Amino acid sequence: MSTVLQINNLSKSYGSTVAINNLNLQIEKGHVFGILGPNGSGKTTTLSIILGTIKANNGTFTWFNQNTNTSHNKTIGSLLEQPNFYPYLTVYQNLEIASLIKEIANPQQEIARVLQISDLTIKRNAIYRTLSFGMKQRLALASLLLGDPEVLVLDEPTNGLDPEGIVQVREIIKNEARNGKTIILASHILDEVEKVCSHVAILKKGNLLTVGSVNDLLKADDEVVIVCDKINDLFELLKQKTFHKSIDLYMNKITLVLQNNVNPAEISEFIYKNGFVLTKFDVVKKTLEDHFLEITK
Amino acid sequence: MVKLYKIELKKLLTYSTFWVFISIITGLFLLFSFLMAIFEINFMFGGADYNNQFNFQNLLKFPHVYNTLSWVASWFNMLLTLLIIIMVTNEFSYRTYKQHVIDGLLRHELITAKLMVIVGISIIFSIIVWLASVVYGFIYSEPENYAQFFTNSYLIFVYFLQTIAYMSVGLFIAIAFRSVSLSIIIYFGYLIFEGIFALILRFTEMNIYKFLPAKIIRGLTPTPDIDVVMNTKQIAESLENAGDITLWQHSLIALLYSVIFIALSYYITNKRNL
Repeated sequence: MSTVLQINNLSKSYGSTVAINNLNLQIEKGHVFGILGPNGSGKTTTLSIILGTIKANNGTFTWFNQNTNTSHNKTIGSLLEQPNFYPYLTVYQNLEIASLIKEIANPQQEIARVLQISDLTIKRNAIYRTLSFGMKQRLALASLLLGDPEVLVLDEPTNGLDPEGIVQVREIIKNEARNGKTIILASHILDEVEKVCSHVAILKKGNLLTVGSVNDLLKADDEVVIVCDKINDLFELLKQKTFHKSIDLYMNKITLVLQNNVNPAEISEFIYKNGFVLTKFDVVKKTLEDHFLEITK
Repeated sequence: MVKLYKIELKKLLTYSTFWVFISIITGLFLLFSFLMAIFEINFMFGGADYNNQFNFQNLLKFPHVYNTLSWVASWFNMLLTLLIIIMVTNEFSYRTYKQHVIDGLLRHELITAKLMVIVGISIIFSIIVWLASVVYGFIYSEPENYAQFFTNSYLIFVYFLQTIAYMSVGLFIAIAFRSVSLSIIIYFGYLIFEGIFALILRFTEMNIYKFLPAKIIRGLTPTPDIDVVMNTKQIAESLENAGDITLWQHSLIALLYSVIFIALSYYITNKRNL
């Protein structure tokens, strides 16, 4: 697997406010990489630096293992913060300008393609300022898909969209991911990231708190709640074992937080083999939101 | 370069503010040059008859016409500065400069593209002034003046340099301050400040006031000499004696100022966040 983006010791401050503090990240080809964090955590600043609109104070980054300037952005489709277009031009004319910058070979064909994907064909001659915010956001999506880029960088892509628009955007992201595209998605909507991302990094106040695959993160800290006939005996037995990170007995219920590599079925089998009769065995899986709140608190 | 030209053309073709400014400047220039052509002063003073003594049409003969019409056109150069300020600050308020970089344009290309617009506008207005000069020159010159068709025609090039200088000031202010209202206030504020500063320097007999940017740039198109109107002086003489600095020195210093303003625009764009 080849590295698409490598960030080394990236830092950015605005006066005494630290926006990013010594950030290191590596994003591989084909990953759908979510950058999570509360407002002000440094998500947009990170994306702005890697896209060349903000200068970092320290650190480096490389796209495709090359030290590049912003001309490399032609092969990256990006939507940063909000759609930025000429208000007096039509949807089509704005896409023509983007096509010229990206040096697209067949602009007419390509514009027709992205207008169709973003469901804007009927609005191609509408003046940009007359569009609703949702339509503007869709135009931004159309623009970033121009030239079928290998990498998509999206900052809060569902902001301001109605539920139908959100579903459409998610579908576009999923389709692009299925086609092997690398996607970098910054969001504070955890459900969005959980639904579409393969990997995630969590930032808070410019610091990287955790990074890894979404599956590993969700698998971590699964809880098992057990109720049985001889609960105190079982509690004493389980306490001696190592397959849990913590164990607690409260109101005749045992709560185990499992080690990352332990399957709950192994515990069930162990209890059965030791002659206990279970009346309740619940596996409680934490959502990304639970993990996020735990990590960022 | 072709790509940048195409991008700027797409932005300008349907940009109404651009066409309004271009139409106003062209219209005012044609109107004032026409007024000059039909202007007459006939009066009696102290018993002396001045009827037919002031001949403004002399200013429209070869070779004076180039000086006259470039001077008339220069009255509206401030509008060109405002036009560039509006065009560039719009890129910031629409956040399109940011988007262009995100889409793959290099930062210096943002300035190069606007520089191409500046040169393009300067060429168009220089052609308009040259064409008007040729037309008026042939209408008002006697056949014996036709031989002087090329004499002083270099003043059209000087006018071209002047429009570039005016617009490069606008480019620099817009890049530095980003907001249209602030940029316009800074521009006019500077003109007032320079005027007062020049006056103070003049009182202290310091000749440096002659080299201040606005004065240098404004002075590129010299005022036609009234003696030409009265048929008593040749234009070459009036140009050479316009001040301690010759027109060519003026041009060189103005060019230097333009280069500084443009270089600063590149520097700021490369250094600052978008």
